[in-house]
Amino acid sequence: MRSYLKMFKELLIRPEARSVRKAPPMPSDREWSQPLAGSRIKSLLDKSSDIVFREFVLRGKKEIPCLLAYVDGLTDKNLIDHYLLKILMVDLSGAPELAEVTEETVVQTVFDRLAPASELKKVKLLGEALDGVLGGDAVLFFGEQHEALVIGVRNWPNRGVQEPETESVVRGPREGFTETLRTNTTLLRRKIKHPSLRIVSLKLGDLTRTDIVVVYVEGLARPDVISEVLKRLSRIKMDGVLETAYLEEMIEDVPYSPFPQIAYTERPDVLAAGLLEGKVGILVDGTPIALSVPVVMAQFLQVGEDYYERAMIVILIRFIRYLGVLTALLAPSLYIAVTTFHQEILPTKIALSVAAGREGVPFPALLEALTMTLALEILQEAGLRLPKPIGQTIGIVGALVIGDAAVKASLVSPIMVIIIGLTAISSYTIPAYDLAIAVRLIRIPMMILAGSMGFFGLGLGLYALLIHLLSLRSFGYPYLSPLAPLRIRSLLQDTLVRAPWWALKHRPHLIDTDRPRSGGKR
Amino acid sequence: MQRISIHQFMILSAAILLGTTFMPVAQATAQTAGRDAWLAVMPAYSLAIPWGYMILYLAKKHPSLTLMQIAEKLLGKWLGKGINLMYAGITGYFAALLSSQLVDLFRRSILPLVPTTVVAGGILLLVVILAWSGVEVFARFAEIVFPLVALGLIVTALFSVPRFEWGEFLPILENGWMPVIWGALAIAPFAMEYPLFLAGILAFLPKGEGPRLKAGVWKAVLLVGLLDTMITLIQTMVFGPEETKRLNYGLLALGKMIEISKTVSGVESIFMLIWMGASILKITGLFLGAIWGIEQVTGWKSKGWLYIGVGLLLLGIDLNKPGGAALVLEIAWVDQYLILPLVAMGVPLLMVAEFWQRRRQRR
Repeated sequence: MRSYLKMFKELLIRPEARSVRKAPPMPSDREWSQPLAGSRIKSLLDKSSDIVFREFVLRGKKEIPCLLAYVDGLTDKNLIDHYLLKILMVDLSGAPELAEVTEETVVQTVFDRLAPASELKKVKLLGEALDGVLGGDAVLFFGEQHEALVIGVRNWPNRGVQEPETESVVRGPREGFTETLRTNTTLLRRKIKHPSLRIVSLKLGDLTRTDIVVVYVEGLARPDVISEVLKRLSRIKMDGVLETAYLEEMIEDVPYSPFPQIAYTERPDVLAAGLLEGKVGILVDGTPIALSVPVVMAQFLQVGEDYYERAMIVILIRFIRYLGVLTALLAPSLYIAVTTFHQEILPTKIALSVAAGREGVPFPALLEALTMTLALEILQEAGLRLPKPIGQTIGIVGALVIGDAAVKASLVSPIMVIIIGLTAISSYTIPAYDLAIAVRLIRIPMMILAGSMGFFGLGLGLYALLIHLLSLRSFGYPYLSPLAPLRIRSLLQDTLVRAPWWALKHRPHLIDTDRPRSGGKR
Repeated sequence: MQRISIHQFMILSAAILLGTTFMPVAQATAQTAGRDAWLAVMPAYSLAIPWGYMILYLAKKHPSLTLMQIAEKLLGKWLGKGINLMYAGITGYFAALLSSQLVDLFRRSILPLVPTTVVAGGILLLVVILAWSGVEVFARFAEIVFPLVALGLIVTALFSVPRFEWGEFLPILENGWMPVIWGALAIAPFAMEYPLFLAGILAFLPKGEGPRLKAGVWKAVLLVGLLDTMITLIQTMVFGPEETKRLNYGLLALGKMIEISKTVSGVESIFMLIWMGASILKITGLFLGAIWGIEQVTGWKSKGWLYIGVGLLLLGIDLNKPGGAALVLEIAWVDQYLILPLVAMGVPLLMVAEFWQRRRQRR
């Protein structure tokens, strides 16, 4: 019992104080910070068939045995063969450049004169050399020297830059992030060609040693947010980081909230726009999803396209989205509350029409709605991961065939089918998948409250939800800002509506309170 | 340390001043002022300004302290603790009464069959959660809910315009100013409820913003005074002064009469949701006041069990209260015989003690 209580208590501790999962020490971990040696690298990696060890001799004043290590498939063999091995073994074999080279001077001589690579660095620790080899670089060891050269020859098959399927736009750039980190930073650099774009690299994951970069625009991003991001990332200790979701759960402010507190995107333009608003981005090697912080709830209802269309159109579209969220959250609950408790709110004709529709239905409105919602959730989940044509078929079978049959069998009323259908369609107006799922999750307790206590129950649920949202923060920023704390300018500039570009005189209040944005009328 | 902004202070002040006063204000003023009841509202709420200013003056002299801490500092430990104990008891009891009034309102209007315990428990649960979330969250909650409450009242007024009996409006001041003054005195305790909250929130206000805080007080008074004046006016114009005197929850009756484009009628259930927000704001403000008072008297720190304990105590009081006219009378009694004397005398007493101490230091 005590252990269960302890476990429960640990689960409730906020992330700052929560001890993170530690991987068992691996054999190589102990030697990570040891001085390097080619033989040690070989003994650590020689059981892996994809690692290539190429031994050769450099003919200097004496013959110096060398070892070149790299991972087959992650490197460009053409570069290694023609611009490294050929120079060291054939072109300069016994040449004057090498004639005076000894074991003590070989590293510096090769570095200065013989390795024509733009990306070249000296390493002294075993860990650095391992990172180099396993990260796709070629590492050149010289005899028993405790120094080696890491040569940048990374090249592996990767998916090209394509339009992201989950964030497609009618108007706007068609490129999306890929699984290769360097490609992603390149895409970002192409958007922001300014020296203040900072890209800070780190490695996370004891076993995966995943490359991670934190990107921000110096001068726009708040220093407290940058340091908080780096602090939270550096606290993470886990076996592997295979996707940004791993990090998201580890660094978000309130882990037990259904609401997303970190935004994600696959689009470089969206991330670049975020950086220009002072946000901090996090990119992880191996995934096209980039995170950005801090974030407020209103930003989950905005899409990149909002800034590519004309302002008047965007105002209408945003209004439709807000309406969609409210409908997706409240439509079934309102219907249940009105039909169960507050029929007096409906004029007689409408009340009679609703009553006629429900005639013969053996279930109370709450049970009817819950069953329909559950059926809808099953249909959505079933259709989500199936190939598109089959997914569509499932939707048609579910919506038309089963729905129609249920109404004909008097198991559900036609109005309930309309309400649930409207709810489902409305939930698709929410651009952020995370937020849409949170709304779906909260809809069910709302329905139960409305079914058991009418509008009072609905009020309880709504006010409790409001208190929860108000207590959320994303990296210190109130989640419902600029609504609460109220920032009229932000609210009218780029939240409820989107002012035309020429009127967006100030940066978002969330990030920068004082400085005007360049451009726009003053 | 949590801090709230000037705007949040203004909205919180307005929310606490308004609370659920829009329910009894018309009846209370119409009892003596008749058709001129609406004229009595603004002078009554104006009383909150001098008391508010006095408290802000004391806060300026003793930065980052609550009025309870100031009381102990100025009046000595035991007298200060005695006053603080009274403050905590009265504030907590009044919160329970207001909660009971909200439950009664739900029972009489839209939820006659749902058990009272469930409604009362639900309301106090929200109050405890909101209070426990902290003053910043409470202030942000007010920023969202108070404008909705104000909007709800304005919409009620607008939809009542077709039912206005213009003959009920004139003649103005038929019986002179005296009924208006008596009417204002009848609701003067409403204004005195505000310092109960201000006493504790002092510690969370921004420093060095005296003039802006004072502006916040009068803006809140003006806003709430106008809203309650409007509500009183529409009730007297729709029901007439005699019927307004008789109706315990006149605004609720008004809500029942509204019909929007022959599509939605009897919208009092929708307005109840909004008014529920107003009640929760006021009850939470008073609940926090009671907690701050208890903490000051006992020296206990803010702990979850303290909030739950006070919440359960309030629930116990709430469930044992009668509804209807008896409850309205009890609220009026607490207002007039407990809150009014405590605030009307307590704050000036602290001012006198402050001046006396300053004078003694100067010598």
